[in-house]
Amino acid sequence: MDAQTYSYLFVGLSFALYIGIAFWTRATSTKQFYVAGGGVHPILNGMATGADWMSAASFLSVAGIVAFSGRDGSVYLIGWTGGYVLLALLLAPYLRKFGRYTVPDFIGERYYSKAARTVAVLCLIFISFTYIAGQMRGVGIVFSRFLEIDINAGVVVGMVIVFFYAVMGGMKGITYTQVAQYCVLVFAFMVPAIFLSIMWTDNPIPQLGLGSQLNDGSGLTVLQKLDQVTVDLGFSAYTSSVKSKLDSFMIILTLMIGTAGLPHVIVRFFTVPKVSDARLSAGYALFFIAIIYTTIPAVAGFSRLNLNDSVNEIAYADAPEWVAKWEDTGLIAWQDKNADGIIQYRAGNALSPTKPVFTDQRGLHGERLVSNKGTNSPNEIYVDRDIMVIANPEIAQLPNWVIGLIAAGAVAAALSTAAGLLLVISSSISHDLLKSTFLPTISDKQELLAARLAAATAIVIAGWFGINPPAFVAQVVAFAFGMAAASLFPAIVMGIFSTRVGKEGAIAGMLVGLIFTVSYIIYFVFMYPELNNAEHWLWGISTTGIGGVGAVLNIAVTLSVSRLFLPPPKTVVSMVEDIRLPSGESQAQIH
Amino acid sequence: MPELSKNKNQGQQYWAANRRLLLILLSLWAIFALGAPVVFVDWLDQFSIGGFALGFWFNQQGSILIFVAIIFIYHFLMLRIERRYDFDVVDKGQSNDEQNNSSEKSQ
Repeated sequence: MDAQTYSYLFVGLSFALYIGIAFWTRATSTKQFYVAGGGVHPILNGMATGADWMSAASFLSVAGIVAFSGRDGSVYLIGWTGGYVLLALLLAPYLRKFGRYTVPDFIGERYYSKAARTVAVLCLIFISFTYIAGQMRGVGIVFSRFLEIDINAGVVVGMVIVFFYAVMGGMKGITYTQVAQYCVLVFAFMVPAIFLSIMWTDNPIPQLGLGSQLNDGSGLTVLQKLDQVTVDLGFSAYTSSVKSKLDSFMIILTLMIGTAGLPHVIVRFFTVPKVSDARLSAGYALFFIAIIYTTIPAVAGFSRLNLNDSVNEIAYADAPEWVAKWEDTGLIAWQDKNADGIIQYRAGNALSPTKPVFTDQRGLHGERLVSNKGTNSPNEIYVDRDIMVIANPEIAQLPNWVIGLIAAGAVAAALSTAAGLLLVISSSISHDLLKSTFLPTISDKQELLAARLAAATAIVIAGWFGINPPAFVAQVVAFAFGMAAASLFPAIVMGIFSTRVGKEGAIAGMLVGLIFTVSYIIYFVFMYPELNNAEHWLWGISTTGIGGVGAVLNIAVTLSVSRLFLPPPKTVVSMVEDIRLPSGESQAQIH
Repeated sequence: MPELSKNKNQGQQYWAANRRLLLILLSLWAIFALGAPVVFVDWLDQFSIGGFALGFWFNQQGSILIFVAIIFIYHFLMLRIERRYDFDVVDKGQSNDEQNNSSEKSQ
C-alpha cells in the first residue's frame, strides 16, 4: 500500500473511534458537560490532559524549532513542561476543592465581583480563540498534505468530527476521546523517533540515542557530529546558545506561568474525584507529556543530520523524491544562486523575504522558480521548519505505514486541543455569562442547551478562522501565553494564598498586567515589526518573554492596591480557608 | 496516629506544613527550571552525563524529568501530611459524613 492509502486508513480508523466514543459518552447534565461528572480516574485524566495540552504545534513544530535553533530551542521544552509543577503545587488541588466548573467561576466567587468574572471571561475567550485558529489550520494542513484533500474541505471534516463529540458529550465525550487521542499521538510520535535513533546509533531509546556514538564508525557522538555539521555550514554550533540569558529566563518563566494559567488545561483538573487526585493527575499528565517532550530533542537532532545528508551538495536532479514533493506544497524552495545545479545548504536566509513566493515557471533543472530576491548568503534552500516532523519518515526512508501514523497523530493532536478549547469557551459563555451573570433563572436543562449551542457556534467561528487564517497566527501564540501569564494565573494564585487580596486589587492587577503585555506585543509585532529586535526591546526581552514581566506587574499592583481598600468579606475569607483543606465538600458548591 | 481532636488549630497546622513543603519544592523547581538550564548552564557544561554536557542535558531532558519527580514527591508527601492531620479522604469526597466532620472545622 502507498503512504496515502495508509493515511486514509489510519485517520479513518481514528475518526471512527472518536465518533464511537461520542455516542457512548453522551452528557445528560451540566455537571457532566462541564466537568465529566467529576469522576475521571487520575491516570485517564493525565492522558487526556496530555492530549489536551499537546497541540498541532507541539506535535509538528517544536521539533522543528529545536532542530533549527539547537540549544536555544530548549526554552520551549522547559517552559512548556515546568508549568505543570506550578499547576500541581499551586492551583489544581485548590480549584478541585472549590468544586465548580470554570476558571472565571473561581475568579468571580473569590473576588465577589461580576466585573472580575467578566474580565476573566474576556481573557479566556481571547486566549482560547487565538489558540484554536492554529489548531483548525493544523488539521487543514495535514488533510491537504497527506490525504490530498483541499485544505478547506479538511477544515470542514475536522469541524464535523469535533462537533460530534464536543457538542454531544461535552467534557465527558472530550475526556474519553482525548485519552484515545493521546494513545494515537504518542504512538505516532515515538515510532519514527525509535526508527531514527536506531538508524543513527543502534540505540532504540531516542533519549539515550541523542547522547550516543554514531554507528558510522567515525567515532563521533551524535552531538559532536551536529556541532561539526552546523559549524561547517556557517551556523553557530548546535549545542551553543546565542540568545541572551535574560531573554531565555523570561521566555521560560512566561511559558511556565502561561501554561499554568491556560483555562483549557486548568479545567481538566476539575474532572477528577477528589483533591489529592488533582495533584496526582497533574503528575501523570506531565509524565505522559514528558515521554514526548524528552523525545523531541532526539527527533530534532537526528532530523537535522538527515536533512543535511540528503540535500547539502547534492545535485537537484539527484535529490530524494521528497524534496520535489514538499517543494510542490511550498514548504521547500531552491534558488540556484551559483548556477551549478547543486543544492548548497548554508547558514542564513536563502531568500528575501524569507518565505518563498512562487512564480508559475520551472527552472533549468525542473525546480519551481521564486520571485524572491536572493540574499547575499550562499544558502540556496528554504526549508520550512514545520516539515521536520511530517517529512521525517520520508527523509529517513521509513516504511509507508509510519507516514500514515504521523498523519493520524497530527490530526489527533490538533483535534484534542481544539475540543478542549471549545469546551472552555462554551462553558464560560453558558455558565459564566448566562447562568451566573445575565440570566440567573435558567434551569439546568436550558443551561445545557445553551452550552451546546455555544460550543456549536464556537466550532463554526473556529472553522472560519481555519479557512481564513489571520496572517498572524504564528505570532499570536506569544499573545495567548503572555495574556494567561499576566492575567489569570496571578489572580488565581493570590486568591488562594492570600486572604487579604480584595476585588479592587485583583481587577486592577489583571488589567495592568494584561494591558502592559498586550500593548508591548501589539507595539512590536503589529505596529513596528521593523523594531522587533533585541536592540529596541525593554531590557532585551522578546515579545514571547514579556508576559512574565506582566505577571510581576500584576502581582505588585494587586498587593499594593489591596492595601488601600477593605479586606474581602468574611464569607470569602472562610471560603478561601475552606478550599485550602483537602477534605469535605466545598462551600461554594452548596450555595 | 496520635488521637487528635479536630479543630481549627489542626487546619492551621496542616496549612503551615503544606506551605513549608511548597517553599522547598518550589525552590527546587526554580533551580531546575531557571537555574540549571539558564543561569548556571555554562558552569554545568564542564561536567557530562551519558554523552551530554550536563548543562545541555538539563536544557533538553533533565529539567523535564525533575519536574515530573517534583510533582510526584509533592503528592506523596502531602498524602502523609494529610494523614497526620487527619484530612485524608477515603472515598470520593461526596459523602455527607465527611462534610460534617471536616468541612466546617476551619471556621
